[in-house]
Amino acid sequence: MTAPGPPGTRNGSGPAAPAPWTEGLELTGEQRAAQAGFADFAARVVAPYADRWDREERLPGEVVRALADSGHLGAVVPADQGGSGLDAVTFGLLNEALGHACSSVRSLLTVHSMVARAVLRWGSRALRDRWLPALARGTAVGAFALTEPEAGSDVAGLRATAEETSGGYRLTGGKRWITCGQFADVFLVFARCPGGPAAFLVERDTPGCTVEPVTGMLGTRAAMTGHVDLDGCEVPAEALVGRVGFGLNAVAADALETGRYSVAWGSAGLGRACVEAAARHAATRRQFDRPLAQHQLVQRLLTEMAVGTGAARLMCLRAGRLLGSRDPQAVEAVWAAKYAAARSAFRAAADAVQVHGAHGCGPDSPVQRLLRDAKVMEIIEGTTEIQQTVIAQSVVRELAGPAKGPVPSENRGAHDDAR
Amino acid sequence: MTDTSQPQARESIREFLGRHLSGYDIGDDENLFETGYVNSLFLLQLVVFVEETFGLEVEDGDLRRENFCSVSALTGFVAGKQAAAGAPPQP
Repeated sequence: MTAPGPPGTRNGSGPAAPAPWTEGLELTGEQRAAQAGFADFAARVVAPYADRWDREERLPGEVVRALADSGHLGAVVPADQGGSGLDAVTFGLLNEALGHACSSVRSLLTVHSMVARAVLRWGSRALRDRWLPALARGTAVGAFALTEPEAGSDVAGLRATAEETSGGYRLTGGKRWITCGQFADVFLVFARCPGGPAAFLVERDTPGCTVEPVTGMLGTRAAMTGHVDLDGCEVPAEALVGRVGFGLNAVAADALETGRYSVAWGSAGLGRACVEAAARHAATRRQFDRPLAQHQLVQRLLTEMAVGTGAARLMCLRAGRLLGSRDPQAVEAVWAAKYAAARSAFRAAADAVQVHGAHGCGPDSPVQRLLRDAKVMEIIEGTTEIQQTVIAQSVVRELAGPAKGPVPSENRGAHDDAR
Repeated sequence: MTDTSQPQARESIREFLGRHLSGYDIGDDENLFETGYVNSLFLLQLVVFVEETFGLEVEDGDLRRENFCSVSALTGFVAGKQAAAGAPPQP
């Protein structure tokens, strides 16, 4: 286990923290202040250690506690319910700052916020009373347990079951690739009931719940991914989140929207880190008697990276503003922002490695971590391909009217099993 | 907040759906989820629309297909929530 150094010290090899990326966002004074605080937090507590955590495939408990102590794990929980109650744009800025520093840490914020959001929005009063304070304080960490060996983008393949018992439900099944599964205290588990699929909050120490660590992941290696197995786990009736069947749609859609929004901003931050690293390298590395930055083909790469990342960021901002004003269009804006930002981040990361050449492929280069992490952004919370089908369906519906007929299974979204 | 009278609620719902279906004139009892017009992601938009337009809170117990599946269902759901909240009686 490694521990972050004391505040204000740096013992890692990361670059100096850049000033917060403020231009063009028209943030409020409070949002600017929050953004500066997030950048400071990320620069002190996260960025210097990101490569080490990546190599060790672990997040130390200290960084989880630092996130909790800073109120970041309660970001989506309103202040009157114990959270820090960030507005949507400010929550986005937090994700951007953490995504800039370390996508594994940002992944923790993502999945935890998804669970907190589901409990806050759709949990029963008993469930909220039991879990919301701990999730808001970060004394309990949540993880999102949807994917199975045979179910991922297509939730119709869910095999985990939830049988009703006299006091609640008995859950059995396997969940795969669960981000933060190795240390989460509670899982939002999706399982099939006799009346349709449903979501349940399952405590890690429930008898029958076991977690197998997954190592050697391509990216977000420090996110401590795990395979979670449930063997007859008994949970009380109030562990049900939302309702069985149709109700699952709103629970899953709400949580996944939080996740997509978080990943979108995190990807924008990752993209920015790529642009910064490439610009620094291009300005200092000389070939053929001049800096790389003066070679036109390198300039093209830098231009594509900077413009793509900036455009994605504006889409994130638009999504945040629509979420903040409770505009129904936010749903589609979040999809578009995540799609654009994840794709842009991967291209920027690939280009950053290209600009670095062999230096970018070495084990000590942050850009090779950024590239591996960026690929994950195109897969989590809706693959690029699922997003393409969903966004296209939305575009046609809005601009050309409904094409009557059954929705192809790949167009239903990631959670339409209860139609 | 939109007027709470039921005809106006119905009109608001129809207008919202029409706007999101490129002006398609959906029948009051056409099932939104079974005819292939929308997927479940649209449910989130419906929830936000209903909450913001009518000043309601959609709770976990409200997440029933029969509350969201058509213009008539949504109108009835809104009326029921407003009555339960002590809103003025429907005309």
